[in-house]
Amino acid sequence: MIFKQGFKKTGGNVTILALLVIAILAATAAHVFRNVFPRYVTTVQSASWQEARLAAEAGVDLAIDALNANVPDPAAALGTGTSVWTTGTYGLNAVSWQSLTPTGDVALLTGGTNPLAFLSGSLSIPTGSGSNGVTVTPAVILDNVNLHLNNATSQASLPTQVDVVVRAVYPNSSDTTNQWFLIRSMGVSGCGTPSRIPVDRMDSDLRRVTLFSGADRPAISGTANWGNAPTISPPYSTRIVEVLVKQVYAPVNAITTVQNMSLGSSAPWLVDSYNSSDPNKSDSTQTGYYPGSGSTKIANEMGANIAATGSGATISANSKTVMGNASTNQGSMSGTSGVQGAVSNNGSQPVPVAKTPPTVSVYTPHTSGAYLANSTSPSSPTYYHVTSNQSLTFSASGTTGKYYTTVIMDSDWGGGAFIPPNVYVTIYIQGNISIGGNTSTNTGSGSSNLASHLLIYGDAPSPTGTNRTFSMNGNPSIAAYFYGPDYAMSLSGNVDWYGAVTAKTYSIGGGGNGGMHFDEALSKIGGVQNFDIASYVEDARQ
Amino acid sequence: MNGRHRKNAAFTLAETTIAMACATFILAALIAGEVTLLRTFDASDRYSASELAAERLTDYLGADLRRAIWVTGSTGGPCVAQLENPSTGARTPFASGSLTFVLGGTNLLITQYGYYQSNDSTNSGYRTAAPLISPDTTKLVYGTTTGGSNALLLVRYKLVYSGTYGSNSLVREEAPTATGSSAYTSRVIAEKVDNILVSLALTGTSNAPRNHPIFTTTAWFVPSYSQRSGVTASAYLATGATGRIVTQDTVMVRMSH
Repeated sequence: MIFKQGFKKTGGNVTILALLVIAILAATAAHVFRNVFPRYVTTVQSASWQEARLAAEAGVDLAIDALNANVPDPAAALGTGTSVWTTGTYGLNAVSWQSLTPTGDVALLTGGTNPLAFLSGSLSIPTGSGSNGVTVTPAVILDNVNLHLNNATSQASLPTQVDVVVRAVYPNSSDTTNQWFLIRSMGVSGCGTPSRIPVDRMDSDLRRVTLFSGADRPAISGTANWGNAPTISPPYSTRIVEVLVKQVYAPVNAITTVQNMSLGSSAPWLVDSYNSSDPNKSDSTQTGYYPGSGSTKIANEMGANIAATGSGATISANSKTVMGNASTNQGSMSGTSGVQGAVSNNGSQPVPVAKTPPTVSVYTPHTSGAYLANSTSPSSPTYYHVTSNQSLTFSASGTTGKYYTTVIMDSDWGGGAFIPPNVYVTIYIQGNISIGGNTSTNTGSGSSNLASHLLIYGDAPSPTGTNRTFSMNGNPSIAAYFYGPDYAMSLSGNVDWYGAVTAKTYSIGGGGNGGMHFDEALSKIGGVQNFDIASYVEDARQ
Repeated sequence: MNGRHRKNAAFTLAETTIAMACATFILAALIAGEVTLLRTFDASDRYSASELAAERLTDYLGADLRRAIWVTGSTGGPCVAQLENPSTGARTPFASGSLTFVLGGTNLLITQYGYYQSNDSTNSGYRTAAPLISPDTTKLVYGTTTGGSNALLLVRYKLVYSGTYGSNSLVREEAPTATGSSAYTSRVIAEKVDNILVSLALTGTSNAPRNHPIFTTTAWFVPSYSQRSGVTASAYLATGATGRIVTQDTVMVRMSH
C-alpha cells in the first residue's frame, strides 16, 4: 500500500513533466511555424509574381507572333516601295490566333472551347485623324487565355492566364504605311497558398497580390478589365506589360543567305554600311555615294549585319571585318574575330520565296540596249521584255520627277546598266547572272550609284530543276539590291557591291580591295519582315 | 514506527549533492541547447530575411533595368550603359561595362523614358499612362496632349542610415532627371543591409544597333554565422571570400533604337 502511494506520486510527476516538455516543444514549433510560414508565403508569392510577368510577356509574344503570321505576303510586297499592310480589317484575324499551336514552353490553350469566342474586334482604321497627332484603331483582345508552362499538359501548380489587347497606331494618319502596334498584356498567376499578406510590408509594396475575390486588382485597360475576370482563384499576382512595336523592313542585312556563307579571304575586303539618304553618313560631295572604306563618317556605323537563315547553315567569316552582327539559325560560325557586332547562332529570320514576275499584257517596244522610262507612277511602270543578254542603258522621258520602269528578262545576263539619277529600275531575271571584267552596273559617272534605283529579283529554279547562279569576277562594281533566294552566288576579284544581297549561298574568293557596302537607305524596299519592340513598360502603378 | 521513519526518510547530503549536480548538468545542457537553438533560429531568420531582401532588390532592379535608357553610378565613374544621354539627348548604343554598386559608396542611377502623366504621387495622373504622340509624324512616344514628350524619369538607388533600425537601409527613389535633388517618391526596399552588396554588370552586348543588351544583377550577402570576429561583411564581400550567398538575375533591356 505504501509502495502504491509512492508509485502514484512518481507517476504524477512524470505526466506533468511530459506535458511540460510537450508544451515547450509545441511552443517552439509554433514559434518556428509562425516565423517560417509567412516567409514561405512570401516566397510562393514571389514565384507567382515572377510567373505573372512571364505570362504577360508571353501575351506580347502571342501578339507579335500573330502579327508576323499576318504579314500578307512579304515577297509580293517586294519592290512596291511601301508597306505591305493593307487597310481595313486585317491582321490578328481569327485564323492566325487559332493557328497557334502548343509547341513551346508557353503554349496557347483555348480551354477546350472555341478560340474565336475569346477574340473580338478588328484593327480597322477609324475615320478622322485621331488625337494628339496619332490615329489609334479599336482593339483586338484575347481574354483569359490559359498558359501551360514547362510543357505541362495541364496547368501547373501555379495556374496562369493572360489578357492581351492590341491596337494599331499610326504616327501620321495620312501615312498608313507607317504602322505601329500597341500591345498591352496582363499576366495572372495563382499563388496556391492561403490568402496571407507577406511577412514584410516591403514585399507587398513590390509584389501586389490580390488576396480575395472582389478585391481591387489591376485593370488592363487602365479603367476597367477587358472581358471576364480571371477564373483563377485568389490569391493571385497580376502584372501588366505594355509595348510599342514597330515594323522592321527588309533588307535588314548586308548579306542574307538561306544556306552557307563564306566571306572574302583578302585582307582589305570588308562588310560595312553607310546611308545614302544621310549626308553625314555618305559622301556629301557626291550626294548619297559610299564615302569610302574607313571613312570617319561611317567608322561607327554598325548596320552591316550578315545572316545565314536556314536551319543549320554556317558562316565562314575568315576573320574579315563585319561592321554589324553575324547570326545563324542553329548553325555554326568560324573566323568571327572581325565581327564587330554580336555573334549569335540563335538567330531566325524568315526569307520569303523568290518573287515571280508580274503578268504584263502589253510591253513597250524598244531598241536593243536602250530603254526609256516614261512613267512617273511606281505602280504602273514602263514594262520591257528582254530576251537576250545585253547591257542596259536607261533614260528618262523628262528631266524632273521620278521615272519608273520594269524589265522582264528571259535570258542569262552579263550585267552592265546605266541608270540616271531620276530613273528607278526593277529587273525580274529568269536566268543566270555572270558579271566580269570592269563592268559597271548602276555605278560610274552619270549613273545613280544608289542601290534603291536598281532592284534585281532572281527567279526560282528553272522548270528543269537547274539551280540558278550569280557569279562575279574581275573588277566589277554594282549598286543594287539583289533578291534571289534560289541563286548560288560566287564572287572573286575586287568586287564592290553597294546595296544588299539575299541569295541561297554566298561565297567570295579573295575580294581584294572590294567589299559589301550595305546601304541603310534601302529600308522599306523589301516590305515588312519582322517587328521590333521600340518601347517596353511595366505598368506597375495600376 | 520504523515504517513511518522510513517513510519520512530524506536523502543524504551526498545523494542530494549528486542529484543537484546531475540536475545542474542536465539543465545546463538543456539551456545550452536552447541557446544554441535560439541562435541558430535567429541566424536562420536573418538568413531568410537577407535572402528575401536580396531577392526583392534584384526584382526591383530588374523591373527598372528592362526599361532603362541610361545606367550609371553617381560618383563620376564611367557610364555603364546608355541608349539616350539624359543630358544631351544624344542617342548612342549601349556600351559594355560593369559597376559594383557598393552600398554607402556609389549610388545607382537609372534613367527611363517617362510613361505616366505625372510622377508625383499626389497628382491625379500618377497612375495614368500619358497619351501617345508623334513629335515628328514618324515615331511614337508617350507625351502630353500639348505635343511635348514626357520628361525623363530618374530612378535612384542609394543607401541611407535609419535611426529606427540603427542600421543602413536601401532606398529606391523616383526623381526628376534635372537635378535629382528632390525625389517624388522615396521608398525603403531593404532594411538592415549592412551585410549586402550589389553588383551590376553589362554583358553579352556590343555597339550593334537593335541589339538588346543584357545586365547581370547580383546581390551578395554574408550570413551572420559566416562572419568572423574582426572581419566585416564588406571585407568578406570585397575579397570574394567563401560563405557568401548569391542571388543573381539576368535582365535583357527591352528598349531599342
